[in-house]
Amino acid sequence: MSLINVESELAGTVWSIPVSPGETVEEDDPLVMVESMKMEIPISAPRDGVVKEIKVAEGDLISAGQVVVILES
Amino acid sequence: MTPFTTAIDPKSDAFQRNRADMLALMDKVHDLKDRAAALSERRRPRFDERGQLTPRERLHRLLDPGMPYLELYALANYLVDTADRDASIPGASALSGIGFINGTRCVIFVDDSGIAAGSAVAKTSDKFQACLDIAMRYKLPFVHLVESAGADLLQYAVESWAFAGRMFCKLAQLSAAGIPTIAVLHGPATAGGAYMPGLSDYVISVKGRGRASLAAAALVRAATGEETNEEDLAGTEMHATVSGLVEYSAEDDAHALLIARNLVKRLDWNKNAAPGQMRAYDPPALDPDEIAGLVPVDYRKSYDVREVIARIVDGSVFEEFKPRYGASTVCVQAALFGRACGIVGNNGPIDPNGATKAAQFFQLCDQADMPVVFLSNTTGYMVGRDYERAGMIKHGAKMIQAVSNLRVPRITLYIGASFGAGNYGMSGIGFAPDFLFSWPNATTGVMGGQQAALTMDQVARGSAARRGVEVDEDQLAQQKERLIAHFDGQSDALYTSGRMLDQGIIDPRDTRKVLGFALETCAEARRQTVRPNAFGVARM
Repeated sequence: MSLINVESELAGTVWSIPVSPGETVEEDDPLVMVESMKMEIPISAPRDGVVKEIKVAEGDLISAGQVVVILES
Repeated sequence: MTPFTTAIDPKSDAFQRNRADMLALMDKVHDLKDRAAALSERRRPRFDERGQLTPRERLHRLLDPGMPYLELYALANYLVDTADRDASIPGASALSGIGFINGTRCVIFVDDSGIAAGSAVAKTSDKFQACLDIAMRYKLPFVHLVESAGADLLQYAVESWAFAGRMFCKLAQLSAAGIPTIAVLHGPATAGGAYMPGLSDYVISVKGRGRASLAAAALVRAATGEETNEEDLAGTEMHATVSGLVEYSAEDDAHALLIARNLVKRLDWNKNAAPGQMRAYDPPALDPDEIAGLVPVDYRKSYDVREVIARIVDGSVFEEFKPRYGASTVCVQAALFGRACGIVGNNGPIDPNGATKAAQFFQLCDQADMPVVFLSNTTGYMVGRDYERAGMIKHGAKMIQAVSNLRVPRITLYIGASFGAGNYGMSGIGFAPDFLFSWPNATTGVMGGQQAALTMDQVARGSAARRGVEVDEDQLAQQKERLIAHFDGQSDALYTSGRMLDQGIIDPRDTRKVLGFALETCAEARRQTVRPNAFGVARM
């Protein structure tokens, strides 16, 4: 068991959060959708795991490198 | 080499939805082309009565049956004649493209005389010139099927007349470049139009129908009072026996087109061209038809462009260049119909690493003499403090510099978003790519309407705050709506194709075929030698 900090690669606005805490996800599943540069860009799970904590809310402005989800894997 | 492993499920709801959306957009393109064709077809009784073929029948008779034909600028003038999307007629009263006549690749321009008697509209001259430019760039004989009432006097604008001179200048320059030009007079070529035969190397004219004069009988009467008739003044017989303008008289349209085909054959155009290498290749392992379903028509929805590439290239096999550096800018080496080429696509905005990677990749393609295919789907270069500090401008500039100076063929496809300087870095229209087509979902512009509106909104609020006044919220909201409409109304593929900001809209499922035709046209031009002369061939 390890905790993974999932970061946004881009600055943008949180568009939607398709997962909830406690949810089991597979690698490449989108965790958070970021609206940036006119696009909806997914931040995806780096590996299979369980969503431990969501650090952002819809509409939040986030910066590049900011942790958005903590994943337990 | 193993083919790309796809993650697409053609049975999924998303796939079916995307496919329905994409095909609905493509239907709109077909509907518009059909609108022009139907309008022209309404004149069929007149053509029949005169024993003529319709413009589309002429085109079919001219071309080799069963050979590929690449239609160009089919939507030119759409929304230029009127802003009414349901009434505007695309095509600029002409049909044009690259096709084969007796095995020779030629540029063909047909006056669509079923529409307002083939009279020129706003974009007709630009369309004609663009076709002449293609003939020049790819060393292709130019064939013009002429039947035009000239320019519409009711729409006279001094600048369009003045710049129409470029058409004749370019025709003359083609002849001097050693590239033959052929005009077939199916009907009138009057006033400026008379220089179409006047400046063509070969003129074929249909007896009783072909006419050329600087002024038709009506204007002669108005100008000098002279009473004359069209046959004495401008007819085929007169030009073939008295003035010497016409080299070949034809009995009817079909005969004239047969003469044109024979003339092209007599040119023996490829006699000095180095033979091309035919190479074995595998078709894509993944079905190109699936492209319609894997691409969301809304550019905001991201997808993996490698899924598109895999359905375009030979064997669905490619090598990805620096996949983990500047990852959202995708560069791959692959083959199209056995010909090695570089392909660049976008899986998101272009960041500094993506820009330097692409610039390096372009230089490598140039070094190895490999054509570059641009699958342009970018919302732009990244903006923001961190990116500016990382040198986004200088890195983006390197990419644009590399694109501008590539010596290898560049084929650009607008396959989604093409915004801002990202359009430039991905070889947009301003960079004169060899060929440029759009998918029907393409959206181009300096920025999105929403971004333009928000920017102006913030500027207005800042300015009001500095002056210490309150903003008028109603007025601001109205301005925002106007701006969004102003920007977004100019961004869709139908609008931009009407403005000739591409060479046409293609069905995404035909992408591989179009790329193959375009690349072969470029390759053939390199193998071709021409015999330029100083002044073009003059009619003595």
